[in-house]
Amino acid sequence: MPTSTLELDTSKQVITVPKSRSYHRWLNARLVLGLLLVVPLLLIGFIGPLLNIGNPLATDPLNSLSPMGQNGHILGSDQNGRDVLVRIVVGLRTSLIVTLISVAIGGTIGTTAGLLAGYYRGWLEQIIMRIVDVFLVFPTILVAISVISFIGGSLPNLILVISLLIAPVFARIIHASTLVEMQRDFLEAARAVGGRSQRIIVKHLLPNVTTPLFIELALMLGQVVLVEASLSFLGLGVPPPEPTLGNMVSSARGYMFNAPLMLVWPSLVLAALVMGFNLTVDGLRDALDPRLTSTRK
Amino acid sequence: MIRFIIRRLLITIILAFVVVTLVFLLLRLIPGDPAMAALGENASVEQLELARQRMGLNDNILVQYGSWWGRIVRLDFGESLIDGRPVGDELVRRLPRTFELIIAAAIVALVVGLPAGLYAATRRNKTGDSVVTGFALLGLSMPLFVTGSLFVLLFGVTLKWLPTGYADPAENFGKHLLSLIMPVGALALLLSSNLIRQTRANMLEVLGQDYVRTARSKGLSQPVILQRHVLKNGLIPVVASFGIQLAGLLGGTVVTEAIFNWPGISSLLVTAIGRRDYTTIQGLILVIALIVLTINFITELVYAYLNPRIRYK
Repeated sequence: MPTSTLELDTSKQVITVPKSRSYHRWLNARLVLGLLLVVPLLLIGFIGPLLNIGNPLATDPLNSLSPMGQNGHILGSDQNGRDVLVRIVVGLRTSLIVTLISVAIGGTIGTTAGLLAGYYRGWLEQIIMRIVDVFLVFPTILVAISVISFIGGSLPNLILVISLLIAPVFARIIHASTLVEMQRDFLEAARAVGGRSQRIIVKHLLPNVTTPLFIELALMLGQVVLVEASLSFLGLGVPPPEPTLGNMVSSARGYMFNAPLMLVWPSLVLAALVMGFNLTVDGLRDALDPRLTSTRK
Repeated sequence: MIRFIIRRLLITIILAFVVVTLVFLLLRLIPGDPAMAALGENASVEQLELARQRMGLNDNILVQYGSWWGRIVRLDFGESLIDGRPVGDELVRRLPRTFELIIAAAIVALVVGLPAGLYAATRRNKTGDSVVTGFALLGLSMPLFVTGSLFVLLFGVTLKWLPTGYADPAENFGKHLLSLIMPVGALALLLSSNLIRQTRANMLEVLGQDYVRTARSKGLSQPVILQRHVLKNGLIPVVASFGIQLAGLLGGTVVTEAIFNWPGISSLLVTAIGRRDYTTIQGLILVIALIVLTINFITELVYAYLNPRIRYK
């Protein structure tokens, strides 16, 4: 029995923080749902083609446009008798490769530029941010279409153009966050004890801008999937016969009357992938930054 | 305000200058001989010569740059590499059709998106909110070419309710209106999804402000609070982003026009890319880029008009 009433009262009033609280915020519905879409698609895209699932380019003219489940084609075959399922798996890999590499390159360039501009200020900031302004005036997809239509579509060209186009977005966001962090006392302290600039940027600035960085990374993944797919759809992506989700939709449109499902499958995979990334962003926002509402852009 | 307008106008002019220069450089980016890339390896020497002349590749690069500006100022976009017709004429013929799509989509998106976003914000975390935000998330995640193709498949091919291509308004106006439904629907779905998310987020932010609580505590009714206090402040960022979205829609029409065989400027771009008709591509990109610049400029003016704080930054 408690000896003092005071003790009794306080022990009732104190709300103990449950142990699960620390990871509870990571269990929000959007994030879980998003990852449930993205992770399996990532696994299918990267591991699927390594398994012995068949050649996406192997034609079989006698069994063209066969319906689902016939002639050994689970999702049917296309106009040249190529297996739709195998082409989706390999096409998904192409989409993922372009997306992940461009976001990695663009994110690195943009983040570095944003950190440098925010840390050093002065003429360096002016140059970097004015270039960023020019880039951001035009819609990404338009610039990508213009440049690719002149230099030609191929895997390296796609990655080059897309990463250059998304770098400014990262630069602007990281620059803004860096300016805020630069006002904080610990940075003043780091400089006061004589820390080298390089060390301050890597050890003190970078870790403090990871929240906006992660959110932007996830947001960009969804957008780049869309850009890559749209370019492929317009015939500006990785050239045929190599399958991509975009060019599969594009060629399926010609056979809408005979094989409508050929159009539906790659569309579904694309929508699931983009939706997965979008849900992940909303969830990440809720988890990392409770002040922001989940659907803010 | 005047100083703000002049400053933005100057920036826009500088950007236009950069754009014209960049488009000039695009053609010179082509690896190897652009004339050969356009016509293929089997072209005769005379054909290649004509193509080079039409692309303006024969002189010294500075002379080329000078004459490029000379032609732009006279609004002369050169001749098509394929059929030799002036690119400008084709542009003038097709521009209204593209604008028709964009304007119709913008109106539909505003009519659907704004009320839906507001509704979701006032019913936060209730069923109505979940339905609206779920719809917006779906609309945002579907690539335009996917929604467009699925529309054609469902309403055009399977149900046969709507025409799948463009119908000339001069011949049959009713059919023209019907043919508008699907492309406008696809564009508006994307645009309104964005609008819903923006409106909801901004409204929620304003609804959480102290002055809204004050208004509520002094006994104002919900509609009055929304009209008088929330809408005005909450919609400012929405207007700004809607302008940017509208400019982005020009990119969206590229895909939409290709799907619905809509003879606007964007489908001309796709055809030209397929035929490697570089002079047409060049002219189109330039015009689209200048339109985007104009939309951005107007958006900034509207934004500054609505939000006096921005003018004095």
